[in-house]
Amino acid sequence: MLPHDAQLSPIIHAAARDLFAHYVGRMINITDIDNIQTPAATALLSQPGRTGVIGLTGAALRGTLVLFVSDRLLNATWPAGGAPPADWISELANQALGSIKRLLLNHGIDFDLGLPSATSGTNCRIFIRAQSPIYGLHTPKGDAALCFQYTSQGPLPLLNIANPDDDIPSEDESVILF
Amino acid sequence: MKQKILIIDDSESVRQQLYEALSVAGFDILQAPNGSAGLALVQAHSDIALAFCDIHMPVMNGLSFLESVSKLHRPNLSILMLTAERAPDMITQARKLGAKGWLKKPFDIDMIVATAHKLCTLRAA
Repeated sequence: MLPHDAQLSPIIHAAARDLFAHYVGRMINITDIDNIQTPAATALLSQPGRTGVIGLTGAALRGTLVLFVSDRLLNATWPAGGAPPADWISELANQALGSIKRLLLNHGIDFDLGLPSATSGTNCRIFIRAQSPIYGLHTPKGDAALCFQYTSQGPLPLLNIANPDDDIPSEDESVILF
Repeated sequence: MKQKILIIDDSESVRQQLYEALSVAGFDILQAPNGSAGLALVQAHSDIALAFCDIHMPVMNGLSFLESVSKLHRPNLSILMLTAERAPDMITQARKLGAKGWLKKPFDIDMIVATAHKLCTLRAA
């Protein structure tokens, strides 16, 4: 794994766990798939499902988050039950990137989120340019895959902030009334 | 008479979730897919008590919506930002533009309903 991906792996793992913990509980196993051509990646992405894509841009990094969620897991995340609206996957991608942003803000890295898009179908193939791993996300209610590819001027300048900005809402702060 | 709530989000999924929960909770719901459509509804309905508004939307984003509403002099309208965003400067900007609060996504729908009741009760008092 490239050095800069080693920096981000814990952050992406945490963001993925936070997202699916909210919707299906905390029993999530994450596998790091170094190559999208592997049988593991192919098997994961060949399931019927939907893919959300969202871009990001900032001074330190620019890139794209791709989130594939199997139909089985997607239905499990939809609060009303049954099949969710077509754009639910793009909203999940948006929330995943928002969580990554919050975690990176704690390390002094900021970026802007783009508008998410969505695709649907089987045999999803994810083509990326950066040497970023695919993260397989496995829950008792189905599987997903997340890829966070980005470009930066060398390793990310992650600051070890002992006391993150108190103004950054923590994951537990769901409501802030002014 | 039912209190009126406006939901502004480009995500159909989010609008549907909020519409279903808040309708069951007894509110009258209006929806808009972006800030511009939301602004038109605010201008057309002087009795909207509360608006939940996303940040990143096409046509007009949430902060631009806040700025536009601030010029309408609607002291009885509370606007809560509902977003995956966490940036402190964005929260500060929303507060300066008149937002009454910030709710994160993914959200707890019970929290959303409770917050709606709280703010609408305060308004009615």
